[in-house]
Amino acid sequence: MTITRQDVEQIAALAKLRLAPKDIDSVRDSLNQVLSLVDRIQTADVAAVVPMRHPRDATQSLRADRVSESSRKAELMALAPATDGDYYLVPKVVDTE
Amino acid sequence: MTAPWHQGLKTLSGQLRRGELSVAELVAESRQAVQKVAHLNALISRADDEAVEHQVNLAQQALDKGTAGVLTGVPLVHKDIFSTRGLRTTCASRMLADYVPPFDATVVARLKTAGMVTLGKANMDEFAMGSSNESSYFGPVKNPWDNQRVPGGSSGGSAALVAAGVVPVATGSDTGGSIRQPAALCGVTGIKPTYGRASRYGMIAFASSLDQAGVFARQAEDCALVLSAMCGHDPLDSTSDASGPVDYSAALNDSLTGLRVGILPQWLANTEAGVAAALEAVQQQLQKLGAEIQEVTLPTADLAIAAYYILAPAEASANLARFDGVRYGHRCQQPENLDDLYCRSRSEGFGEEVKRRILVGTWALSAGYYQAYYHRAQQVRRLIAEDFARVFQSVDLLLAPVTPETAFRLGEKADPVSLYQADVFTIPASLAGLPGLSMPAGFSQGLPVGAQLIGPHFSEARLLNVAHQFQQHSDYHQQLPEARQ
Repeated sequence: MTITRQDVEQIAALAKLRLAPKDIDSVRDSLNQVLSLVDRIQTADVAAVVPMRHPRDATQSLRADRVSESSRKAELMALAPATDGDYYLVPKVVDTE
Repeated sequence: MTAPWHQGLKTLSGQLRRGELSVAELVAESRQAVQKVAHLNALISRADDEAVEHQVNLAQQALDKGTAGVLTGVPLVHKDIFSTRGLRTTCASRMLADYVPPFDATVVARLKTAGMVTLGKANMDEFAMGSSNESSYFGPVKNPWDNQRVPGGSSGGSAALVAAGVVPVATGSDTGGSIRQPAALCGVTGIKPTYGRASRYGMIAFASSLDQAGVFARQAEDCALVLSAMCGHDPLDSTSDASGPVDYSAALNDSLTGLRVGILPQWLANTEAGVAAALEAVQQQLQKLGAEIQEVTLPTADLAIAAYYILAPAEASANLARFDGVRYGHRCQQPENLDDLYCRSRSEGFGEEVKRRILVGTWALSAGYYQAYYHRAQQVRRLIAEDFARVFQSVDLLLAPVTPETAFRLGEKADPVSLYQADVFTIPASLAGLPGLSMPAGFSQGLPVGAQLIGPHFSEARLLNVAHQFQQHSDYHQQLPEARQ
């Protein structure tokens, strides 16, 4: 499996990363190096093997459905780079017309 | 002259209790010692004087009132992956360069409750992605045994500070070897407990099905004391095991007579001569102490690196999606639109290795590749776990190399894939969620060699017992580098 320059651009778009055009070839080459390493799993006989999603096969533990934390809105909002009152600020997404 | 903690925390605690040393004196000595090794670049942030003084006073009061525990007043550094309330937590990334968490990680809170005094935050690979500590936004850490060489990673700063003898204890986290490998390359003891044993709450997530907190100290006895205080069920982490705290010191002096130790000839064949010789000597010492050695194999473990470099990046790409320039972390200047805000904030905030892993993970999870890579890697993960389970039917634990070689030179492994190979002997246990310990096992051409002990789930006490018994008959863990410039 090898990936192309075009693949890199598509993956980067999915991952919300912007690569400088001059870096795309070197990123592609390093990703292809990684892929040649990970491609070794294709040699394993995994027929009928159940995928392991948790290292001890534990399932999600549940807790009682009751309020356990108080609001820490002010503390958390204070971490944001741009806010307006109770809102996080982002560039305009929806046209108002 | 060695530091007052050099003979271990029990001895140190006795001195504090008898008033031969005050907490203020102890902490001042450690802080000064940390500053003297500033050239190692092992610390990202120092706790401010006021915060340290407050913790010192609390610890001294507990000692004076007779309510102190064995860790009261003991200074430590936390890997900069653990959230510390009011103390900058960067994860060695530009993304979090100015982030001051409003809460403590559970591990941090528990060690604080035990009376330990936080001196600062240790350097690491960015978002714990690396095996050499060279991917840190704050620059590489240097190995105290040879400043031209890496300390290992990702918990490189933690290992380097303990190795240099300037702090008695440091926390770390281990996803694919990030405690064991730097412990080996720096010549200290480090343990990664069973997945689920230590809370991940407040430990910035890299690969959630693999990440586990642990500890570095000179000797196993000290690791046991700290691990006992930091582990146990945490309702704030849904992957935390339900069992309560364990006293890991209780079995340290158990006899090793009849202990069945597995060794892996195939792994030993792939190590450099000095590492193999040190491992052979450990094996002989354990035999002298009554252990029985058995040769075993882990046939699918040679696929571990391949599976890991699909699973860990896949989980990382999901975990790191939270960094969007909106709620916290780096935000680009004057974004043109929402997509520009996301893309530029992330591209500016993340370093090269982090971006590479996000891209690999995004690719492995994308339509068309999910089955052939992510799903299949999870199947390989089970094969590896089953290999270990089979081996542990005939042996109690495994004695293995931690790394194929001793500390390599800064910049030596420039391409990612050669660096990924550094974790060839630590990744298999990580995939299976097993506890692993690295202990000083000797030197090869002046550089430390580590020996790894791997046991079944929840066998931490046994691993610490074996390491402690070995350390009763060796002094590698007590040797200090000259901290050469």
